[in-house]
Amino acid sequence: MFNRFGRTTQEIQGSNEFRLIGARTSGKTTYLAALVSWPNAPENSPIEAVDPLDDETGKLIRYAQDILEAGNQMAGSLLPPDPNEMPPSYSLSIRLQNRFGRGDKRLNITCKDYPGELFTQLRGGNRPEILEPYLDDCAVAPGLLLMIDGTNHQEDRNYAQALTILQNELSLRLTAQDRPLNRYRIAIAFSKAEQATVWLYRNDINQFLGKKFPQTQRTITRWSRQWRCPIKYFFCSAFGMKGNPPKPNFRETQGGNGAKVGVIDRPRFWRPFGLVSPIYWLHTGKEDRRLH
Amino acid sequence: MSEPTKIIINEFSRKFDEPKFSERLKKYVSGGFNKEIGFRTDDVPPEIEKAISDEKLRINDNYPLEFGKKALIAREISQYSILAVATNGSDDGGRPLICYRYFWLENSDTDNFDGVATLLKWWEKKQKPDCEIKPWAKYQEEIEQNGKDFYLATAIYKEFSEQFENQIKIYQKQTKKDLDANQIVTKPYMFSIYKKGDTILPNYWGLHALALQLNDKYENADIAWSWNTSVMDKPSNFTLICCADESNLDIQKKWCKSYIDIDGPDPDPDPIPVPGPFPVPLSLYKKLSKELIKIAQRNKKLQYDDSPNLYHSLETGDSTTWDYEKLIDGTSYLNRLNENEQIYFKLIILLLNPNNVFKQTTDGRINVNMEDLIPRMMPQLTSSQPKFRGRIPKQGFSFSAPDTAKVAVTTMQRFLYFCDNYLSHESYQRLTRNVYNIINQLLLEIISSTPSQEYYQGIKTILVNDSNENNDLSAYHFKIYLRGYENKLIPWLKKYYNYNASQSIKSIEDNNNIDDFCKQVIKDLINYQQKRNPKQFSESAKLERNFENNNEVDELTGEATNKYNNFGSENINTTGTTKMQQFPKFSKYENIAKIFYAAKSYNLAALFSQLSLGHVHQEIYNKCSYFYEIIELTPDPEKKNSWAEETLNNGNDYSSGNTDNPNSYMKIITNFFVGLLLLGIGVGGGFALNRFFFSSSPTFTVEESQPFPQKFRYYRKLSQAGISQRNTAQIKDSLIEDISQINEKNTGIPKLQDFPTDKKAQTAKELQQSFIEERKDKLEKIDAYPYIFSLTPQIEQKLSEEILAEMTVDKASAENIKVNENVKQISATIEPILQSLPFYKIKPSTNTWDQQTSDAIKKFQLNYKLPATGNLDQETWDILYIMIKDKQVKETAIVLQSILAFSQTSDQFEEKITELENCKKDPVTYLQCIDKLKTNPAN
Repeated sequence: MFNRFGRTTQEIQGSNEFRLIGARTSGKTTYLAALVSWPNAPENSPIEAVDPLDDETGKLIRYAQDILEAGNQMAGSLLPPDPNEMPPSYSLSIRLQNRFGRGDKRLNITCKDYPGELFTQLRGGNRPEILEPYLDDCAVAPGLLLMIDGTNHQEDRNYAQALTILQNELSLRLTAQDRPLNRYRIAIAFSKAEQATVWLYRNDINQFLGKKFPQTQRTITRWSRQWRCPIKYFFCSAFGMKGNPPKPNFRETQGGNGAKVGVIDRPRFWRPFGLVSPIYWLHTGKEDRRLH
Repeated sequence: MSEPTKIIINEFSRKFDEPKFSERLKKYVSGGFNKEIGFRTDDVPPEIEKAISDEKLRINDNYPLEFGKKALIAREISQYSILAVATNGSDDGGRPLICYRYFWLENSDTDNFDGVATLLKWWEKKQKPDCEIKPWAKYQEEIEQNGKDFYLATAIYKEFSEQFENQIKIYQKQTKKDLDANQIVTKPYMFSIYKKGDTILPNYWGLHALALQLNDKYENADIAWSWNTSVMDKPSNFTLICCADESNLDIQKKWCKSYIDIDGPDPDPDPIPVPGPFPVPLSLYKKLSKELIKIAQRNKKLQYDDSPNLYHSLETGDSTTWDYEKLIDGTSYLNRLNENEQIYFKLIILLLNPNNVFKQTTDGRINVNMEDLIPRMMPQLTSSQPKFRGRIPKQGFSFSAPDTAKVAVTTMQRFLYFCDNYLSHESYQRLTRNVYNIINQLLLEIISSTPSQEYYQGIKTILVNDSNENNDLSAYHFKIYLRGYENKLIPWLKKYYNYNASQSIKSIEDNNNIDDFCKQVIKDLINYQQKRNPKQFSESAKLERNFENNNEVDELTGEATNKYNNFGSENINTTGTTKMQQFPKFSKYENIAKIFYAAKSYNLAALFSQLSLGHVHQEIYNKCSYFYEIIELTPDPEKKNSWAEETLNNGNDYSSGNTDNPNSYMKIITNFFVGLLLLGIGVGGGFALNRFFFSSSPTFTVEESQPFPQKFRYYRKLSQAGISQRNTAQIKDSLIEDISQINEKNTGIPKLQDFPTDKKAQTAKELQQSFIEERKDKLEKIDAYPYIFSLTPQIEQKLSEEILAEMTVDKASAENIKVNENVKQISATIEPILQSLPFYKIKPSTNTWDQQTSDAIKKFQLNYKLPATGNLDQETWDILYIMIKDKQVKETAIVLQSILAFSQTSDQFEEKITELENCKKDPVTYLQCIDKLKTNPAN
């Protein structure tokens, strides 16, 4: 058939694997569920589609439909009973519009969603033994997506502490593997960016860091300097905004430790933002402004 | 008598990090997950540890149990039996989790010892202890209080299962067949629970008895069951799963690699009556009134933010039980409105909840109809029609029914339009349901009394007639909803009507899901069949009973089965013969038949025609797809069907090539929208709605659709609404593909050069004629053609006058004759065509009728074996017209294709489409105009 507009899809080369780590209730699983579901994408979005590549990731879509879209909260990720058992990996494929020319680009990634309890253990929990296998596993991956609850700046000091330990532990392991530290990529995503306290700073992430997470910023800067590795900050929101003027599409259920905890207020208008940007950067090492 | 054997029970619990006391929930919440085996009374055997680790006793934390309920999971693992009692909990972030308390024992060596039953009995005796999140110290405290005796249980033996035969029967009944051992290895049987009063059925004892029975019968059927659980993490690890509700069952069916499909539970014998109506909550009352008034006052598109409370109420379903009449009568805000706005306000409320308005009398008959109702709501309307601001159709209803009804319908359409336009899906869905309710009432009105012709015409106009108004609202006439109602009605009839009268009546009588209209039709159908052929009716009823009473189909004799299956066809064969002499007539359905005929619902038109007249007009019979299980149809070509012909003559049949009928594609758009939202939301009743929106059983498809314009408009609507690119991309691709058919080499529009000719004039003419016929056939197969044709400028197919060769501009100028504008236009239009033909060369275009053009026409005529006069006559124009239009359509197709492919945003797309549409204004410059769009599509 005559079709002069036929499309071709190219796979983007890069690091396919990364680990997702963050404190409890920082929104890691919700982030992944929103990413895989990719609901109500805007017309001008360069992201054509996000597709699950395995059953586990398919489950996330199911959760998004059954739980998030029903206005409920997702459960915390389970800490596997066996310390040597890793949490499931989620594999997904993101199809992006080519910035120049025709056709699409495809980004295939695999991500392990670590339970938030690990982050607690990093700050000196009572069960350091569960950390070991996770840290070993984390050191195998070429990149790390660190998720920080943007609304929970009271925890700045704790985050900084946990990150310092994480840096040291990973440093030991990477060095032991003779892997160059400067090739390790770390994306720091501030979640819940739909919340006013984060949204206001959406155009100036450095100002946000300086004001809300100064200690974390110092720790990360130091980490970057010591390792000479690329580190980048992002804002992301799994729930997104609604209406005009935009308001968070969020209904608070229960305040916990200064963090905003809640559910999607208007599931029909659920449109997350900033989810692909950190992944794209982790994968390619480049930024795509369209994804911000 | 020997002392009963005592068994020691052990327990352990799931452990949580730093439980904290939540003031809000008044209980402890988890500070995070810790170990699966936390507090314990004894060392846990490694077999059990492994089972826990393998998630053999796990409910998915994401799917909490119904609040306050307990779920049980029981299984035998090696020489141990374990019973997990699960309850809901939450963590400090408010996230759900499942709390487990596990009880286990080591099975006794005694034959027939039943470990799980022992655990169950002990658990019941100890007041059903369950799990609670609490600090470690509190566990220790509790165990000390309980003492050792607490954990002593009396052994139970397997004979007990005989006591639960009735319970087992319940399960067997649910599966409707014997449980199969071969499937049990990998496929759990799933059931859903239902409640009878306070009792949950089937209960866990029955479930365990069934597990034992299966285990006895088949070695590979483990004692592994779960009861009243939500979603299991690994359902395939179980033999029997008894889900807490149907939704959990559905979820697990999808996740579980294999499952046994079973029928749902028996309907609750004592359904809880729906309470209400309740007064509108005080906190909302003022806000809601304000919002409704705002809607009443505004004519432009509503925004979600204009009426968040209203939409929220509609979407959450809180408002279904409100007392709307109070809202109408009680609000002082009404005083702020002018007279018309008050009407508007009231009508919106009518649409919000027609149930409260159409009340049933004690004898069960609905005696409030549109005619009674609307004047009651707005007495001032009985004398004159109100004038609405904005785009409410001022006319277009050519009937003399009460004006109030027209206004009611228009207002409802308008509100529906608002909701749809803003993609407020739940609201739209709810309002649509209300419209169906109104349709039900209107149809009942027609059959329950003998309405005057005027009143009937009024209802018919509301339901099926098209408004001539060319505005947004005309597309929202009730006709589209009537078609939806048809899709609901036919499955109901098929499902609930059968030849066994008592069976049919029993199944519909208390079923609130079926509309009263449908119930009445089923009763009359039974009556019709009984009167028409009592003998055969009773025979079929007998067969029906046989069929119903035998669960196993195979047990029916082959003969009986065939007889049953052929029952309808035997009737068909005798149709029209002397055997069928009397046709009982239910004349009240004639009007209904007319209405469904006008709505192009030929199946129902045929059904009601048969019921009312005793025959079906041949034309309807041909259009209707035959479903003998409901009624046999008697086609009668002899008898004239006056109403059908009348309707046809009035031009109300839209199937004949009217591709741009707004109703038809708005129907598709609406169905698409509602379909999309139904897929997205899993609300109760969603499935039913989905069925009638999408139940496009091929049997009922009687009209051809013209999908392209609908699809194109749908795409535009989606892109304007900013719907996910993922959703629109597929439609876009499909549109591009449709358009590309136009330029397809063999099946698309032929090239200009292919227009045939021959040396002999006569043969050439024949060839040309067949070419034109062939081209027509091809065009009919191209979905996108009519739409793209409509984008091209309008050119008259008939020449108003012959353009003579001597009327050239030069001569006209010399003789001071004014040249007709039409001549200028035509000559400018034909020049590009003539230039593109291969057989001669022409000088640069002059866009006038000059000597050069006339010469070109002469060459053209010579080439196509027409009289070479140089005059542009009708015969020449006939060919040129085809060529001009084909070129325009082909070029437009390429432009449209590129706009679709390269537009980055919906704004850009709309802008380009508008430019394209504007090009149509000037036929002379049309090709140049669209050429600009083609060369630079994305800018």
